[in-house]
Amino acid sequence: MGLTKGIRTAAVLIAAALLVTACGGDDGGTGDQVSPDEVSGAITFWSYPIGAANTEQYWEPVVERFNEQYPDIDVEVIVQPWDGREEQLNTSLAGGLAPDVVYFNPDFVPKFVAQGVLEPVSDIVEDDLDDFRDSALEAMSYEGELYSVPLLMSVSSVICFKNVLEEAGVDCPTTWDEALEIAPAVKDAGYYLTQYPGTVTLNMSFYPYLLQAGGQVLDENGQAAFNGPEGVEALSFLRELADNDYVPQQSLTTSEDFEQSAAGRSEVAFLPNEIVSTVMRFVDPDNLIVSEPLTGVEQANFGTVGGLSIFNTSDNIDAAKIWVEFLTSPEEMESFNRDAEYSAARESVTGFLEDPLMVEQEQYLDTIWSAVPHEQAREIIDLIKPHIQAALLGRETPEAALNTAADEVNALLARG
Amino acid sequence: MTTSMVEPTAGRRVRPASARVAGMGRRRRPGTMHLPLILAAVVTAFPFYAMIVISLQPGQPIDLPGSLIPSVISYDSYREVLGSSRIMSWAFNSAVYSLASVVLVLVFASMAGYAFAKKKFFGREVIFWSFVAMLMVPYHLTLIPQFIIVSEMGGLNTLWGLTLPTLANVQAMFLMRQFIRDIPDELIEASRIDGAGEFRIYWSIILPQTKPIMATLGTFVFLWHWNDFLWPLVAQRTPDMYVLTVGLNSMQQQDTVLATTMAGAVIIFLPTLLIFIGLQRFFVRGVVMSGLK
Repeated sequence: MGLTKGIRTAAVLIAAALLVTACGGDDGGTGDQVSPDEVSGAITFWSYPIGAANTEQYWEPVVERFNEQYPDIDVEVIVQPWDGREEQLNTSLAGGLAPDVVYFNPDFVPKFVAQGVLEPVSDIVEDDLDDFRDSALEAMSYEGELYSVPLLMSVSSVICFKNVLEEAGVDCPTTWDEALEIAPAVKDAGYYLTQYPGTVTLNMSFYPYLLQAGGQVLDENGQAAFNGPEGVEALSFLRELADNDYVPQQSLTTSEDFEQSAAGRSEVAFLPNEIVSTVMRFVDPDNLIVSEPLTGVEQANFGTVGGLSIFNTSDNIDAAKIWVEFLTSPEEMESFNRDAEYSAARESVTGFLEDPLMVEQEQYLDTIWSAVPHEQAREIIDLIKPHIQAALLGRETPEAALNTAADEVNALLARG
Repeated sequence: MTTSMVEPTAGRRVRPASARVAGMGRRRRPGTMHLPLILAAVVTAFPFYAMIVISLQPGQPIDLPGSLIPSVISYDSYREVLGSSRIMSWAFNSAVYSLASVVLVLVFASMAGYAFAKKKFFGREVIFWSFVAMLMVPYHLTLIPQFIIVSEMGGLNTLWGLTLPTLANVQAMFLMRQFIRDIPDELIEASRIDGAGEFRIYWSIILPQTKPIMATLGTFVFLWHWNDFLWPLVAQRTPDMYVLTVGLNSMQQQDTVLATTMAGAVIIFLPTLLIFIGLQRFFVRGVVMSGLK
């Protein structure tokens, strides 16, 4: 929470600075400091297919509502594909044609801050900083500064499958020990205990186990720390699941669409780290139980945050900030998240989710962990992942796999 | 007796004695030859069949072999993929991008191939191998400079700007040059003696000889452009200017189901299949003659 305090302090300092600047007759630089009548121009917002917000048509009424308040700002919303997202942004930035506002996830923030192209946005949230969830603000901050105003959140926790629990005669596990305890009965009943998606980002696979073991990916000096005793314990736990066929072997190395996986077929006792709205698309909600995040030594769960960032290459940062402030206002945030079926990043924006399972899972929003706050977070994952797979397939011991990966990660970090 | 000596060959083409001798002992029963070919054909066609079958079973877990003969067929995935009002403009953009590229790449590659194969000029080999060396440069490295150049030319978000950077195709030029080298010089010299100029020689003598490789290259160039994603993604700035690959991708959520992905693949794949069927005769001949892999 220290980071959040840093953000609050920074916001106060920025607000004070802006006040001084405004008194001095400068034109400021935030939505709050500039009268709507004084701001005009055109901005471009790049969004992505998020739930129902997957077409330009979805955004038309939103822009109309915006223009009722800010008639002199033209907003063009372009829904871009997820694939090639980073290449497209980098190319556009290099060519001087980046959008003014862009939808970002946490691991994009450090990467683009390191390039020096993101505009700090603490001033946009300064008036109601307390309303934004701390976990969301932390996820979208880097080195004590907020670079993306949180709009949406998702949260994962343990999800159990009633049909498997009933046939095996066991209860929904919430700890590693409980999971191992019920595993033989589940296997005897012809099911898997859980599944480990070996090909997805480690944010959603190995890292939560690492955190639950009390470990961390990088230490405070920015060096690899995942190969410590906690990391070995986490990987050994997963290896035990793999060796005993408590998880399907195929999912360790093969990319599976959810509906094709063992979980999509209701053939696992529980998912340790899953977003219930995703599961509900393919599994009868009546067959699901949402429980608390899994605990090893500690309790930890993955979640993601979607935020709105502003490139400092924008010719119209004032208008961009007003647009971001508008979209993250309580009314618009609720409207967007209701349609997209996500949770809101404001504590005051609740109660719009109707499904009881999603409501149940929403209570764990404040504990989510999103990504390694490092500009090379994705490259680090690419280095570690093959070694995790090798250990799970029995080709390396957990210690050797993590130590080799750590050497590679430290070499990468040294190169910068 | 005379009749019996004639009857066995009546109405048949008789192979020369030398051929019969040479072929003696090499004849195989059709089954032994066809069986491996049929197996290879089945293995090759299976992914395409699976793609279509899976696309017709949205939201269903795929179990082999049961899912290969679906009991219930649904077109929901296709409705979802084709649901965009812009699908026709995306298809049009893809068609223009691909067809214009095929025509222009073939023209420029054949011209360059002719020059490098048959014309003698200072530094020919150095220039040629310098071009070929560019094949070693990963495409991603040239993406940003290419983007900036097209941007400076005012070509972003236009079909000509999309097509222009892809016209200088070194691989196509290399293959054309290798093919044209095998055309006898005497043919060109005879034309020149008859008074043909350079363009006439290129147009009337060289081009007709290159039909097989043209068909092969044309098919490949069409496939490269029809399936291209990254360059159209960065060059086309608004949804109405997307090509089909980018447009369909822009509608996909992060957790899109397999059937929807397969339906998109089928839609993108169909035109390439039709092109291949139409040019199959030339394509196979071109592959055989050029050794193209």
